[in-house]
Amino acid sequence: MTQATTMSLLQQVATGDSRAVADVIDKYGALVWSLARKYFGRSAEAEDAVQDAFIAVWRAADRYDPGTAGESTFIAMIARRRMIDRLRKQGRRPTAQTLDSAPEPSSESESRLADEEQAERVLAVIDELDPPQPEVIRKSLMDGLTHSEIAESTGLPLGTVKTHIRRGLIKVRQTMGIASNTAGATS
Amino acid sequence: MSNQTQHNPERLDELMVDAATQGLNPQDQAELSAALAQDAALRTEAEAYELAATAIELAMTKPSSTESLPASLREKLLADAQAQRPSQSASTNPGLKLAGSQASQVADTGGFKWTDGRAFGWYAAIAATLALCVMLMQPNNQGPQTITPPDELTLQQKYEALAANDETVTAKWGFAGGDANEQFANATGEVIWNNESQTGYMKLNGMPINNPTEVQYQLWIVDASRDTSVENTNRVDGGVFDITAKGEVIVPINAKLLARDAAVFAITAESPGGVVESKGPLQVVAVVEKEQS
Repeated sequence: MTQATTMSLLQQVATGDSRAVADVIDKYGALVWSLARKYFGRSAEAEDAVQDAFIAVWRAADRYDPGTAGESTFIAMIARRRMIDRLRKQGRRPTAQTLDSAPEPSSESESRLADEEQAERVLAVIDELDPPQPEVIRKSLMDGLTHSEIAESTGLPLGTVKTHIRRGLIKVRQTMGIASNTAGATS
Repeated sequence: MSNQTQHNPERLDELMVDAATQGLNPQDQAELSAALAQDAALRTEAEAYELAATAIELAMTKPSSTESLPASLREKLLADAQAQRPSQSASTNPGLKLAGSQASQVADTGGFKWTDGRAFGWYAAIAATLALCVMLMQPNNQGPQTITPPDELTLQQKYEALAANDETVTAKWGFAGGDANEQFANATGEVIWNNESQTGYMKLNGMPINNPTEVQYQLWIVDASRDTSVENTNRVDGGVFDITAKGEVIVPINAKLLARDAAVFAITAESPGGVVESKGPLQVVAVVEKEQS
């Protein structure tokens, strides 16, 4: 199929290609499952969270722009958002409680290579941040601490913690080529 | 003065970063959702933060291939995807063909996508209210609903039982205005929804009787917990139903997805079977009012 070679899987999903749906599940299912296991452990809710996440993925498929982010990052973003939201609704918070590793997307070595390259660039950016920004970001995104908890554990003022996190995100955004749309995000 | 000007850029930036890293409480989520609904650039901005946070989280997690998706879950995902497929083209808006002498058609004014500019016009109108709203939420099934007069005890009893629950919220139906058909101008009633049980009912008066072979009503739930920077919509399909009798009718809500924070309920007239993505116009709307704590 000519289209299949020029369109991403999500773009194919958006056109109603049912085979692409199965391909997305096969390629990224393990990735989303790993996120669910991270946030929900081995509870039955992990499966519900994956189902919820993929429904959101299907609904968002037509918004996917390959020029903005890799397909795996886009799918993981949607899945992660849904899972964090699910936890918040339960009065829980995201914690890296179960997995120390996540399955990489299966097949298609080219896209896997792109993911690995992005990961290397992102890690390089984090490593280059002035202390204690890398530690603050790790506590937030890997350890699942709230900003207040980070402030408490590091002794930093809450506003400083938020600033460190924000600046780190902006640095990574710049590395990923995602420009800021608002003046407020550039400072 | 537009609603947009009421938002403090620094505050919104903080909310977007918080959302990307630790999630938001319902009040903050409603505030952010209301702002995002009015501003496409903000939605892009919020998504950029989310992408960055996701990229960091993925980068910090060393890849492995130790655990694959369970086969049973894969089958569920395929079934879910199939259930999400449109039963018919969502690109057509048949207008409203009413039964009997009220067979005048709603003019198809070109319709709108709930996520496009015109939709945000309506969206913006409710967004300010949204920020003042307390929200609710979900269920899951399929198929058109059947209207049951309230004199059928079981449904009425169910309605009353749910309404009596302290956690149940109530919103009043009213004419949507704008492009809405004037035949809905006298529509009244209320909608109740319970977050815990994920159930709800609509009590409707003054709705035109529809011919199900030509048009069916469809309920939409605006879920404020759905971040429009991540998803392209925060509305949830609340089910297709018919109005087959004059007077007051009760319709069970049949939401297809989780609606974690139901803030607004809206009814559209669609092709038989309903649509996945409505082009509107909204005919009848109910806004959940914020509880005064």
